[in-house]
Amino acid sequence: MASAPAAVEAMGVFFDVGAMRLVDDVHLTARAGEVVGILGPNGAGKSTFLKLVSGELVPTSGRILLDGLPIAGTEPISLARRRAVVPQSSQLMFPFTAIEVVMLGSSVPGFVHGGASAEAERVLERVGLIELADRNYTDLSGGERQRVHIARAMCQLATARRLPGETPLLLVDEPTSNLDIGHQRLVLRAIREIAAEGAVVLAVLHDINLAAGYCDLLALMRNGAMIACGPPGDIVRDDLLSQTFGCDLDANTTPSRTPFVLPITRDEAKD
Amino acid sequence: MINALMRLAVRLFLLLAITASVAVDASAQDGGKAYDTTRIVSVGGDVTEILYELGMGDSIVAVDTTSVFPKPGVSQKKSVGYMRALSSEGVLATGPTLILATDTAGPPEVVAALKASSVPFVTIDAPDTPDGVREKVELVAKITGKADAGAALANRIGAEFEAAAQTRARITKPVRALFLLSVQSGRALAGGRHTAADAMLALAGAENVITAFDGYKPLSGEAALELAPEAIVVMKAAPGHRATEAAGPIATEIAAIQGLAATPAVKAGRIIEFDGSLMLQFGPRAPAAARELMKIFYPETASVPEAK
Amino acid sequence: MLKITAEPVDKASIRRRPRAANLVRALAIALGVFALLSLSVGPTGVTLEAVPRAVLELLGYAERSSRHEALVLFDIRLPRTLLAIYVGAALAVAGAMMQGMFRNPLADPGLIGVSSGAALAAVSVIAFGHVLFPSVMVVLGVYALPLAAFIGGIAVTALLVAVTSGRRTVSTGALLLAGIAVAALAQALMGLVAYLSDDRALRDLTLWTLGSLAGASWGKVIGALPLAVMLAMLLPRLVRDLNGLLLGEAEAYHLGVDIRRAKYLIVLATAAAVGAAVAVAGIVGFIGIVTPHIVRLLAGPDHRVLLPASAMLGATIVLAADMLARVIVAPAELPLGIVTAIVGAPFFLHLVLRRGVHG
Repeated sequence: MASAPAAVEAMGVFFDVGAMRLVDDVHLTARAGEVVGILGPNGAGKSTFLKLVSGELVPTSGRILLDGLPIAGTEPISLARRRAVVPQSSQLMFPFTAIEVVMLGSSVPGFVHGGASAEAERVLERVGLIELADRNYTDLSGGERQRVHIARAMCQLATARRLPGETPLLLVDEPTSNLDIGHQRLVLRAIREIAAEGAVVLAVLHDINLAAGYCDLLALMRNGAMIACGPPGDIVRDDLLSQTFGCDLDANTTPSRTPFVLPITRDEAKD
Repeated sequence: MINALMRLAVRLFLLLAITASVAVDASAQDGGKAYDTTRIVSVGGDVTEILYELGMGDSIVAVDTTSVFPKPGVSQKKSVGYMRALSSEGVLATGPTLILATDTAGPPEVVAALKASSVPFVTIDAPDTPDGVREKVELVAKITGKADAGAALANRIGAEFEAAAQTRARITKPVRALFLLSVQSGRALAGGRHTAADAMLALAGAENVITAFDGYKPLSGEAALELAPEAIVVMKAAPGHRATEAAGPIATEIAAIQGLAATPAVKAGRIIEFDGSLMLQFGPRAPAAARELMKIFYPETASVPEAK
Repeated sequence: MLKITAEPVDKASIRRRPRAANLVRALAIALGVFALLSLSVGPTGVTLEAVPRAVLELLGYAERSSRHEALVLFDIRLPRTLLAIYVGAALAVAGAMMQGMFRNPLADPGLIGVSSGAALAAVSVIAFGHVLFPSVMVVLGVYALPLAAFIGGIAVTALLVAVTSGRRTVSTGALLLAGIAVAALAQALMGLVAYLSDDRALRDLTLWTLGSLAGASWGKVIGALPLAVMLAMLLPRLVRDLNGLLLGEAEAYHLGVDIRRAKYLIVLATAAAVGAAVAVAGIVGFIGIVTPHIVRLLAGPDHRVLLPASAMLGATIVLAADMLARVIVAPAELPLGIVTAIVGAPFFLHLVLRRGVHG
């Protein structure tokens, strides 16, 4: 997998707002099939970085390449063919049903229209919402809304007509923040499947253990800079995590060698 | 059906020219020809009053809302609405043979459509002066074939104006008067120059205190105080009432406006509620209006025996 | 691959709302019926049966009837019916577009200054046209006012967009606030115009702001035609953009919407549509807010259905309201804006109280 060409490549990316530097010289390479988890404390610039990759924000300096081509200046429509985004939260004032929101994902011109509703049903099943397909979006719980948007992004990538050599890219910003543990697993499994089908996924995550369990690569960000990036085993370490989050954290591993972290330290646990 | 109509509409564009030329024919009839006066729609209070004075009241089928005199005649006629908001089909629905309208009738598109119909549409227009009133009378009389009655009426009106002018000549010191079109929630709308009110005040031998602006405009209490009117004439909405020099509800409202309350007019209780149609329409009753106002302004002068 | 073995779901039930297609069909029929009614109802009592006779009369093959059948049907009612359809459709579609772009079900076209601009221009022409530009007024005749209203509406909107455009996009929030400020300014200037105008102009001014189709003419129909065609061609392109914008600007961009272009087009289309509607009919309230609201309740917020259904419903409502305006006090007539407000305002209140603004 390491030999595959880079699908997403960020090179020396800076982003300033006024005198504030929100993203500070970030380099990142991800390949098709990889799920990259971005971890870091609040305000580390994770979401901003994701917006830069989505094209929504333009870097102050540096370049972001998608399949070797810079995304700056790419038409929104041709970007939308390749990249879908699940926002942290999304307000909707109008009474769309869940499946209608999902089908908005396939509303980009040039997309396969015929199978849109079948595809919408398929992705709703994948996120466990098929029973609520006809429910008004505005009546759904926070977690259900999150899953609707994940389904919408999946629908977008599934129905887009991509050219050969174009890698689908899924950007998700804290997709599990409102979900119970069962649905967290459901969503991350679905994300893994999308990667397995050839996409590259960048996911901002809060839960280090979830990220360690489902991501191929973890990137640690603090104050806009990327502190470390690598496989979970190399990243979930006492020193790196403590430095990133600014508190003492003890990393451990399960018998199956998946690293994990508990929010309480050993000292506290003894009490 | 809709398709057929749409095709019809397209063909209609081509036919517009024909319609337009027909319209010219209709207006060409105005050159002194006799009109069919069996069913008249009268727009404008002055026109309606003239028709009644000429004995044509029974021929009127519909009037506008500014036609409020004579009672009860006009109240039994159909109403085509306010003279500036006519409806072309509404007017035609009354089945008129002749439409007589003041020049302020509107909206312009409706007037254009009515002129395009086969019903003759004649505009009655003249300035707000004694001569203007006579002019209107003579024009209406000519169109309705009542030239003799018209001449008599015009003469009578002329004589009445003349009598008023003689009375006016005896006035040594003109009253400084202020005309208020409306008084609402502490705001007074005053009549400036080039208004019918200004003309009527002059005919009644009064001096309009407002010389600074044209038309009807809001007047502040302070400005009113500075103008120091000796009499205030205010339009009374309800028609048919005679002028009264009494403290009605309008007088109370005027007295409530700071500044106005301190004017000589209010202090002396000279607030005159006057019939708007009588004062502002410049119809056959214009000389009577002037005379009546004069009586109120100058009780002593009016008590001197009038000419005739 | 993850397979969730859910209960078999009735596929038809989770497809598009089945009511949407039926609604569009029903509205098309209603529009047709009301258009024919509008042609056959009026104080003169001339009905559609008179059409063949009237055509002959128009062509000169028949005597001009005393009932003015040709005039009533083709020069008074037909242009009026066509304009009612245009005004209703344009206002309703403009309302739907504004609500979509501002993501607010209570937005109306007034927010982008077009109504204020049109009203200010129209009022100025009523008050000063003949004094300041007598020769222009003579050349343009009765079209001076609609033309001025149209240009005024577009100009104010263009100014607003120019002021609130950033480097990358039009800021919706700034547009909203600037729109409110401009509306207030226009209101003040209209007050100034009213202050400076004479009694007669003052009355016309009041009547104009009440809205009416009494002044319908073929000239106005021809004037509105290119805008109707432009709207009909532009709307299908905006459907997707508007649907995306309902999710939010960032989300719409993620779905491939060129936000800047979309907003320019939406604002331009709204300004042109409303400018022309105000120009031919004056201010006609509540159509822009109420109509899309009703359609959303019946068929959901998808603009593929919302835009055409709103256009048809708006046209039907204005046709019905105009018939009422013509008939209630015949042979006089009520201003259309009064009818739409009297019927629209309580209905709107009912909708809001019953269902909430979220539908």
